[in-house]
Amino acid sequence: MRLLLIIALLLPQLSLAEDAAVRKEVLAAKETVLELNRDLYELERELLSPATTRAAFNLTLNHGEYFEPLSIEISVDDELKVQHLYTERQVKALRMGAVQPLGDINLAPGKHSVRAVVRGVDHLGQGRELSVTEMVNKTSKPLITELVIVDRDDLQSARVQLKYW
Amino acid sequence: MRRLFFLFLLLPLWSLAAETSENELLDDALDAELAALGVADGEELRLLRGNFYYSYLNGQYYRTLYYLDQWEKAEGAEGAPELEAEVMRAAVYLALGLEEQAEAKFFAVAEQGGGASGDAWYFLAQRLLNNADYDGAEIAAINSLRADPALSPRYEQELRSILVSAVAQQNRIEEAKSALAGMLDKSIWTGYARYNLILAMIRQNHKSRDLEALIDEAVYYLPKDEEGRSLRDRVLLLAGIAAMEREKHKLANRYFREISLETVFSAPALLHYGWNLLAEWKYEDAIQPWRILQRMYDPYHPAVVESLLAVPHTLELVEAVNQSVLAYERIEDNLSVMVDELRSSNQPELLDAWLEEWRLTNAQQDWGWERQQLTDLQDSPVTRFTQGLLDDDAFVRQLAVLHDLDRIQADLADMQRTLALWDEVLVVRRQHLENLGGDALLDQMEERQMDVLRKVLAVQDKLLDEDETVFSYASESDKVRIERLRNVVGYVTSLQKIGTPTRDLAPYKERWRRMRGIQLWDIYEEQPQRKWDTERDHMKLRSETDSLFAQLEHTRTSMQWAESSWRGFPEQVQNIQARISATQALISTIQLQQADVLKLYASEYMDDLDRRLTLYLSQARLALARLYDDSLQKHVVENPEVGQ
Repeated sequence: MRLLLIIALLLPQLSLAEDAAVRKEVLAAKETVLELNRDLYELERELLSPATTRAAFNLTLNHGEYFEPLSIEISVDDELKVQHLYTERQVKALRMGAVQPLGDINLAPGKHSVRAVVRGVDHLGQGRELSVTEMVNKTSKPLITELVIVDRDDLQSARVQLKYW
Repeated sequence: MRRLFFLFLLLPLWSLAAETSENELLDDALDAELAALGVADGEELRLLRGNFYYSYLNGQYYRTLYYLDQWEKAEGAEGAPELEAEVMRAAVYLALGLEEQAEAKFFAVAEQGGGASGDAWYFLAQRLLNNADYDGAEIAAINSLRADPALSPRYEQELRSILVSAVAQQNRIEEAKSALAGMLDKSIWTGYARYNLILAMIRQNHKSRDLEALIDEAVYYLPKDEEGRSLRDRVLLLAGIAAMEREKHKLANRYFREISLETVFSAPALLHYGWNLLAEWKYEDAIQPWRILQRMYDPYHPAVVESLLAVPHTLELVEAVNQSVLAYERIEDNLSVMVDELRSSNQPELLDAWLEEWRLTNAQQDWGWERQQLTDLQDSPVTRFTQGLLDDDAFVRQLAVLHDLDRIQADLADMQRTLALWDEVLVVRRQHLENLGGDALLDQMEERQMDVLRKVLAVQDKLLDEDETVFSYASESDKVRIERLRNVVGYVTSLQKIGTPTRDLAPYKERWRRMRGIQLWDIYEEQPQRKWDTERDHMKLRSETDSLFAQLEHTRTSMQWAESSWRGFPEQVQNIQARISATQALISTIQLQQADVLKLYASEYMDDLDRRLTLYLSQARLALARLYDDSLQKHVVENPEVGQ
C-alpha cells in the first residue's frame, strides 16, 4: 500500500519533469531555428548582393510632420530597382526614428545616376511627390545610401535628400 | 462553479494589456526622433540600429536578430559594445518564446545596470510582465524610468501600469498604491493598473473601505470606448463576486446591476446576480437573471448549464412544486442528451481530428508573441465541451508550444525549399560564367581598346607635325585651292618658255601672287580657330578614351567578382541543408509527443466534465425522486385508502 502511495505521489513529479524536458527540447529547437535563419539570411544576402557589388538603400523620416510617405521608387541609371508601398505600421515605425532597410541591389563599379521619387501626402492631406537625383560612385566597397525626408518648418513642407558613403 | 468563475476573474490581464500595447505602440502622437533612442556616432551604426528598431517595430523578429548581430559586431569593432543591444536581445528572445535565454540575458544585463535607453527597458518590461516574471518586470520598469536617454512620453502610462501590476502581483499593496498615485486618472492603463491592484487587495483580504473606494474610482475614470466598457464590466464582476464572498449582498447587487449585457462578462455576471439574490431570499427575483442568461447564451455555456439547475432549485424553495418538477424533467432530458454527446465526442479519433483542424486553422499564425489569437478553437462538437479548457493556463501554454513547433516545422520546410532553389541558381550561375569565357572576352576588349589608343596617339603626332607645315590647319577646300594655285605655276612656266613677244605674262604672275596672298590670308586668318577646335576635339577624344579604359578596368573587376560569385557557396548550402534536416527530424518527434499531451489533456477535461454533468443529472433525478416521493407521501396522508 505504501508503495502505491509513493508511486501516486511520484506521478505528478514525473509528468512535471517530462514537461520540463520537452520544454527544454523546444527551446533548444527554437534557438537552432533562429541560428539557421540568421545563417540563411546572411547566405542569401551574400549570394544576392556580395559586398563588392552591394548598394544598400535606407530611408529615414525626420519628424514627418509635413509629409507622410505612401510609396517610394528608386531608379538607378534610369532602371527601376526598388519599389515599396508603406503600411500604417511602417510609417509609424519610421516616425519613431527607425530606419527602413529598403533593400540591397547590385551595382557595377563606377558612376551611377540614382533617382528616388517618394509619393505621399502633406499635413493638409494633399498628394505630394518628393524627388532627388544624384550621381554616386560605386567602388569595390559596399555602397550605403540613406534617403532622408526632412521637414522644412519655414516652408511648412518637406524635402528628400540622398546621403551616401 | 462559482469558484471557477472567480478563479477565471482572478487571472491577470496581461494578455489583454499586451494586445492593447501593440495598438498603443502605433499611437498617433509619435514624435520621437532617433535621438530619443540614442544615436550612435558612426553612420553605419546609426543605420544598423535604425534597421533593428524598424524590423522590431514591424514584428520581423528573424530579421531583428540579424540586424542586432550586425549592430553588435559593428559596435564591437569600435570597442564599445552597447548594453542596449543586450536589453533588446532579451526582449526579442521573450518575443520569440525563448524565455530561458531571455532570462539569462536579462540577469546579465541587470547586473551591469543602466546604459540602455528607456524605450529598450520598456520593451523588456512589457515582455517580462507578459511572461509572468513580475520581479524582472519591476526591475526593468524602474530601469526604464531612470534611463538616459529617457523613455518616450507615449509609453509612460503603460510603463507605470506595468510597474503597478508587477508590484501588486508580488502582494506589495502599499508600494503599488504609491506607484499608482503618479498615473493619469483617465488613461486606460490606469484602469488596468487599478484592476490588478484590486485583484491583489482581494487576494490579501484588504480593508473593505479602501477596496470599495478603489473599485468606484476604477469604474468612474475608465474611458467610454469598447475597451473601457469591457474593463469596466470585468472590474464590476470581480467586485460583485468579492462582495458576495464577504456576504455584502446589497453591495454585490449594485455591482452586478451595473454590468452591461454586451461583453464576455455578462453571462457569469447574470449567473452570480441570481445566486446573490437567492442568498437574500429573493427567490422570484433570482430567477429573472437566469432566464435572461438562458435566453441569450448557448445551452452548453458553463454559466447556462449551472443556471439550469438553479431555476428548479429556486422554484422548489418557493414551493412551486409542479413547475419545479417540470423544470427538473426538462433538465434531465437536456443533461442526458449532453452527456451522450459528450461521451460520443470524447473518442481518440475525434480528438485527433479536432486537434488537426485547430493546427490547420492556426497554421498562418507566427510563433512567439504574434500568436495572440491561438486560443480561438474552431466550431466542432468537441469544442462545445472543451471551450472551458481555454481558461486553463497550462493547456493554453501546451497548445502554444504545439503551435510553435508546427510553425517552426513550416519555416524549416520553407528554408529547405529556398536552399534547393539556391542550389539550382548556383549551378546555373557557374555554367553561365564558364560559357561566357570572361578572360577571352576581356582580352579581346583590351586589344580593341589598345587599337583605339594607338589611333589617338597617331592623331596626336599628326597634330604636332601640323604646326610645322606652311598651310597648317588648312581646310579641304583650301587645300584644293592651293593645289590649283600650284598647278597654275606649271602653266605660267610653260607659257614663259614658249615666250611669244605679244604675250605679257606679268599680269598672270601678278594675279597669281594676289590669289596666293588672299589664299594665305584666308588660311592664316582661320588657323587659330581651327587649331583651337582641333585641339579641343582631340582632348575630348582623349577623355573618351580614358573613360573607356576605366570602364574596361571596371568590367575586369566585375568579371573577377562574378567568377567568384558561386565559389564556396554550394558547400555552405549543403551544410545548412544538413542542419535543417536534422532539426526537422528532432522537431517531428517533439511534435508527436506534444500532440499526445494535448489530446490527453482534452480527454481528461472531458472526463471531468462528464463526471460533473453526471452529478448534475443525478441531482436532477434525485430532486425529481424526492419531489415525487413527497407528493406521494402527501397523497397517501390525504388519502389513507391508497396506502392500504
